[in-house]
Amino acid sequence: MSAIEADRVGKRYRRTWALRECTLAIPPGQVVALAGPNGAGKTTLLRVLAGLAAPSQGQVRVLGSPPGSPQARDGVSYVDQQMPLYRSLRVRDILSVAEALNNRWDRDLALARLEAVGIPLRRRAGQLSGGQQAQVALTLALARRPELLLLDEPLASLDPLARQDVMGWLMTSVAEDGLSVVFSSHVVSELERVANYLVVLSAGQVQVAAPVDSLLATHLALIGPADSADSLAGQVEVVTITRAGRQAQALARTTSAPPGWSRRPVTMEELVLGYLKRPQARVVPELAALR
Amino acid sequence: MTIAVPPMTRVTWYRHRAALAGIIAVFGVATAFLIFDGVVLRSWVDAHHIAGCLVTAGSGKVKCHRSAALISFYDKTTFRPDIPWSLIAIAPALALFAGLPWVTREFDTGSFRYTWVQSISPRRWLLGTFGSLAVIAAAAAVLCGLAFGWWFRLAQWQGLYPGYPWYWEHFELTPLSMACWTLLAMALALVIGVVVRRTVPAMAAFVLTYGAWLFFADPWLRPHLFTIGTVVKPQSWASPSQGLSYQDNMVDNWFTGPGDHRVAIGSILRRIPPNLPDTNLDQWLARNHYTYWISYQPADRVWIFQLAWAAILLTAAAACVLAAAWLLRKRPAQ
Repeated sequence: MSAIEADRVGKRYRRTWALRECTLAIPPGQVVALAGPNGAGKTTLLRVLAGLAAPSQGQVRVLGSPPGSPQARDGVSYVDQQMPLYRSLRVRDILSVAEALNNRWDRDLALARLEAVGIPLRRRAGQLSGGQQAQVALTLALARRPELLLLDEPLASLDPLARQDVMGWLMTSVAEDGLSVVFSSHVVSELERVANYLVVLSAGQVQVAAPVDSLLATHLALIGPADSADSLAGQVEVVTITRAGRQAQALARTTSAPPGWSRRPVTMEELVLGYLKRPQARVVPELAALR
Repeated sequence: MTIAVPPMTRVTWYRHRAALAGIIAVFGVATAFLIFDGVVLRSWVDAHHIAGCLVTAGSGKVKCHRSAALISFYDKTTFRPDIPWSLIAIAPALALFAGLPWVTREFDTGSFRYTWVQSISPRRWLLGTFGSLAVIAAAAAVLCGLAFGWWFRLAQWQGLYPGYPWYWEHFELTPLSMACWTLLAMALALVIGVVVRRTVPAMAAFVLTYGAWLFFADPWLRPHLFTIGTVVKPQSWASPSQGLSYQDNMVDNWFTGPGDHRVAIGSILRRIPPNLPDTNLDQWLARNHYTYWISYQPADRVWIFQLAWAAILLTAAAACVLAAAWLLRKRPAQ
């Protein structure tokens, strides 16, 4: 069973398609980096997966059930990018509300986490800093003991130390509980160290959806003379190519360098940026193949 | 022994304590005022030994007509219509300030993006929160209605036609009616909150919609309800209350002429001899083949109409709640 399965999913707001023909099948236990520029549809995709928005077309399943179904509700935690909390409530009351709203709730985990990050339970959520609110929101999401965690720009309001701490905490949960996580961010370097599956969205469409290892193994950065750049496309599948004086650098989908070109491994950031520069390039297997 | 509290009741308690406290406080203040004023009135009546003169509502007779203390009691103050009006206004006011913002603020603040992704579904959240608030509000309204009934039994003697159960002051402020109006106001606030999703515009929409409902219900729907199943009988025109209890509600009266056709009263008045004594009116009508008819509701049916009215209000409230749940499912988030 896939953690996430989307078959030609589209979401339209009035006349604008925020998401089109999205096909994904993400196995369980993955840490998925959902990358893309602003307005690419990342938030819309996450809201569809969380059951907050119904798709206008296509079919979605999370943990084998439609989003919003009781099974999906129990297994999926979602943290919106606006970190919505009940701002007038004290943190301890927010925990009590969360406990009442959920069938599964690990109060000890929540209390331990909030104590570890020094958030006073008597403080009202509205009086917490942005970073503290993010910590509370993440704590609420993880204390539900989900199988799939959807995080929309979760680290944006955290300082570097807190980011490292949150990442470490999340990775521990992934390792210990087999949790699947989908991170959305347009800061790819943030995701590079932890993600093992990459989804790139561009203009509402899935441009890349594959395991990071497989992408890195099948893509190379090729460096060669600028006057040979035009002929490179005939030898390998070029995603993007940039020229700087007499030298050219290409992101190519290949495992070997053609004669006259040197090679080096690509980083995930280079991969994402390369594909975003060329929206028509795609690495999206058919759903049947993904299954 | 621990009492299992439903999860949404706990959530409502944590999240809407202020609204719950406001509902209880407003009805509590009104109830306390009615009890206080009722005690003052009763003390005065007891001090002047006129309790026996004021018979309980229902007999329609005032004993001791010549009692100076009784006349003084009538004159002491006049009946204050502002009290029933204020009580009628409680339900929409609470719906406006407590029953509506809890929905719209969820959208205003975006916290629905947290609430609606928990194990409890949005629909259960909506109905659970509404149910908890509405039950408390309805229970408080019942207590207030009981206090009003106790106060009104004495206060109605000051300036009203006492014991007449069809007055709106009596009919709309029974515990049953108050609870139903409260539920309807809360339900209307719920559906408007779900539709509009912004606090201030939703409040404006609620005021307009509730006002429109009042304009429809009070002067039109309730009087029309009272016309259903009336007792029709020929009546003496000279003494139209003959044979009727003063608590009966006369709904309509008319004349028929020869051939049982309705006749306008104007044409009869033009034909009546100018010097005809009132006592001979009925004989004159009979001689000219006219009959004076009345239709009325007997006093003992007032509770049937109370129940029917409650059913109408509750049906409207249920329709609002169902519509809110359906709309939430159809348009879950923005």
